[in-house]
Amino acid sequence: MIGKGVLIGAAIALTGASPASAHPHIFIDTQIAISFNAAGLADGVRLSWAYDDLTSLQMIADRGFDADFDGVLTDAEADALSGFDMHWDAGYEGDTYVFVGDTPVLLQGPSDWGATYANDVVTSVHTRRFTTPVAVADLPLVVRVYDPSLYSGYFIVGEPTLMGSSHCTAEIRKPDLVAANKLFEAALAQMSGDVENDYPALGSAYAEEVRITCNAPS
Amino acid sequence: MQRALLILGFVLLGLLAVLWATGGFAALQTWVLAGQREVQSTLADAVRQIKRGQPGAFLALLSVCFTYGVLHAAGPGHGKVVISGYGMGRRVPLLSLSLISFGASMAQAAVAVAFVYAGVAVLGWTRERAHGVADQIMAPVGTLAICGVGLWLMWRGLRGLQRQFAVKAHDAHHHGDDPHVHDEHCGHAHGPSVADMDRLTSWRDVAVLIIGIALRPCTGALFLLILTWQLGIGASGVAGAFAMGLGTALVTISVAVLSVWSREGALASLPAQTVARALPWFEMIAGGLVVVIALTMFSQVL
Repeated sequence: MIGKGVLIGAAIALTGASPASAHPHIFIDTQIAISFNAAGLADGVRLSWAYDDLTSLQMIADRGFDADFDGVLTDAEADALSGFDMHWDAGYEGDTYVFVGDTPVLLQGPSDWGATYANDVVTSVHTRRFTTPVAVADLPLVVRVYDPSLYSGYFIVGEPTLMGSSHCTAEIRKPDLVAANKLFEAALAQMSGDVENDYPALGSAYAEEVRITCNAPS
Repeated sequence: MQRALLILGFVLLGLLAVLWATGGFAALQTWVLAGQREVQSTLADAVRQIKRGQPGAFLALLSVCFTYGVLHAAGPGHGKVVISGYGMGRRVPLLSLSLISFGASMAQAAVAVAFVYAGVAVLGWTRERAHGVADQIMAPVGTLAICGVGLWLMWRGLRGLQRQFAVKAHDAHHHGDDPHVHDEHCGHAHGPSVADMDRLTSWRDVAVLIIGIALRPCTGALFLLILTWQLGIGASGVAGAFAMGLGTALVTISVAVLSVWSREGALASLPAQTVARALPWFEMIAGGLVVVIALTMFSQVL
């Protein structure tokens, strides 16, 4: 069945069964800062999301801001912009996931938010406090940033900041695309049409993360 | 050797499949991803420059839209499924299939323009509403249309097979079980000859393919059209949407070339008399693949 071979080969090559998903429409440069309390426990993460400049332009255009197009918002517009991405729908987890080892750390909703528009880029900041502060000892603290649906792509930029801790180090880890693609194909093979439930694992497979390890204070 | 060249097309496709299977596309994917972001940024820049009345901005927009079209079409896409399915399944000449690819890309841009100006400009939809209608109504309808193209290919393949079996029964009656005479008769008289197949690219086929592709609007084009309309530079957006269509056309035409090449490669590796008999099978299998892919897309858009 040469014909069949050709057709299947073509279907694979042309439709790119390789991840449609690794194709975010919104690119978000993410800066991460971990805070530690006086007892040395990690108690929250502060995030800065800089939206790609096309998305930023669209946000400004949607709101009819910056009518003279000089790149500067009026004070009223700047106030109105603050918190624009902080009113979350029920079930939206905020695209930030924290673990100690493999155990999820529960996060509170966003707080201390703000947003700015400068150099044609909209940047928002917010904090997610941990419901219970956690010790970072034998197991690393892992902050993963991803949109389960992969519509937005989060890319960690800059060095992660560790506030209130002198004996911890942070390391940025990029996803293993080959492994992620394998997962994607496995999910595709199992897909029952219930894409809602198949997708979350995928966003996480393509996630960038910060891994924080601490030496016991001497 | 023409035949060797044709078989090379088949080998090339095999290599692509191997590259894909071994994860060689991961590097390519990283590159496409980086390219996508670069293009989005350049697009934003061009739009801002037009808005700020800077010289050369319009050409910059057209060129970035074209690049966007190429990049976007290089990912998975329905247009390529339809074109490759049809190109594999029917013995359509290269030029016809290329023109269909081009026409479909232009029609897709025109549908995007009509959709945005009817929805956003006339009916006053917000951007979210327009994208919602595109995702929830246009995309499923477009996907069903593609599924229809697949079913239609399968049905025609089936009909071709039916004719062959009818001829076989007829031959068996006349010639007993002499295989040589049977084959000759089948190939020369009653079977659908290669020439017959070539003539079957009718206007109806062209219309079905173009509509099948054009109904599913390109998100990038919608995005640009709405953004430019909001900023009061709508004409630039319309020009940009067609420039994106040109970029998409470049990719779908390449797909048309690949599919015709590999189809002819596979046919060249078959003995001459069996070519006519193999064609309905090609059509059936290609149609089936188009249906399967369309249904997969359908489950994703719902």
